[in-house]
Amino acid sequence: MLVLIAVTLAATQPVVHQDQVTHQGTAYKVSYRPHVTTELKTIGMAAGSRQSSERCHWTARVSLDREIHSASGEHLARRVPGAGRMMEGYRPGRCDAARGAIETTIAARLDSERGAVMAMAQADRPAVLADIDAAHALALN
Amino acid sequence: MTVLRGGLFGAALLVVEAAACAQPSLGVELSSDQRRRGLSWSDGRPTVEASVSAPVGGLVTLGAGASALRDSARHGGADVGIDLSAHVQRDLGPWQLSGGVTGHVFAGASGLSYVEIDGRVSQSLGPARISAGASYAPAQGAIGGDNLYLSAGLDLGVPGTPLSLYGRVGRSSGRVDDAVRAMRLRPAGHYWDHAVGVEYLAGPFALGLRYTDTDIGAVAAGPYADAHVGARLAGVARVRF
Repeated sequence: MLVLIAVTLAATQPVVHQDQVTHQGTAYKVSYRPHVTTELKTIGMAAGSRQSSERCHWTARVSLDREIHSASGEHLARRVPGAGRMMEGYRPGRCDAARGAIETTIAARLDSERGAVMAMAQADRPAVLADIDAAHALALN
Repeated sequence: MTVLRGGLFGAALLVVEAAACAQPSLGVELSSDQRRRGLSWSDGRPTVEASVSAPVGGLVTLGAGASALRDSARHGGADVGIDLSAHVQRDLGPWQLSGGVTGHVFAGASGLSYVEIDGRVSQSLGPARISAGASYAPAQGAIGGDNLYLSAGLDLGVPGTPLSLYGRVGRSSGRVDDAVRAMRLRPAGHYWDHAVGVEYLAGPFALGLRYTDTDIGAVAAGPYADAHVGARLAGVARVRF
């Protein structure tokens, strides 16, 4: 059984990193919020006298959604390019039975991988400047 | 909708929206000896098993499996053992319940197929899952009476590793109508069996070791006598999609 879970970002999601960039003399505030897509798949089966091989294989892809705000109130939002950060694990039994425990595990793993997620945000700086450039070019046309 | 607590970097919540769809699962398993309830079903020799399971309508799972039996005397020299099953799963609070029926069909042997019903209750506790189950095969000529199997087990996904550990203990009992055929599932009357195992998981692949044993002593001679009932360490390789 395959279960897809997508974390839908809303304005209430926590900002995990903030930065400030200056482009052509204008300061912009940049903030990052997490986006986690989790896939759960039950593999194996348990039936009759056979040794159960039922396991839940979960994978979680952590991406960042970035928002650029200007002092004048304009903002530009997009998903940070790249594959993001992958995590995976296994639980005994069916995925639907283990979903709560898996969610707790993912939350704990996200906390423990804070450094890697911060690095994703810091590596995004060149793309931030490029996106501001592109937005200016569109505005001028 | 569920809520992921203790979220990223100590943040309060991550809201998770979930959608589910069911998919069939196919698998092939190679083992150096197929043991069920501590008894070899493959004459103590390596064997291969293919199986498929298909969720139907969210609550029901249909399954089918076929194993090479290596002319096992336990099953009258049948070439292939086929398991056909239907199970219903339901959650009740923290408990997961399942119940169903399995037909064991033996191709290449006459009059040895039988059916059993089973029920299981399990609960996840952190990375572990505890379970207890009962299987009952009503009185049938193929197994020389009826058969009751009670079991308890513990599964543990070792956190932060691709390792999975498990242990089981079970008790087989039942009434004997035909002592010769009753030896198939209970070679020397009522008995206990246990199993412990470890598996290394990598995506759809699994490699494992499984140790099984029973308290069965000597096995008397007979057309279905199979002495592969004692301590056994078996290797298992499986791929499952």
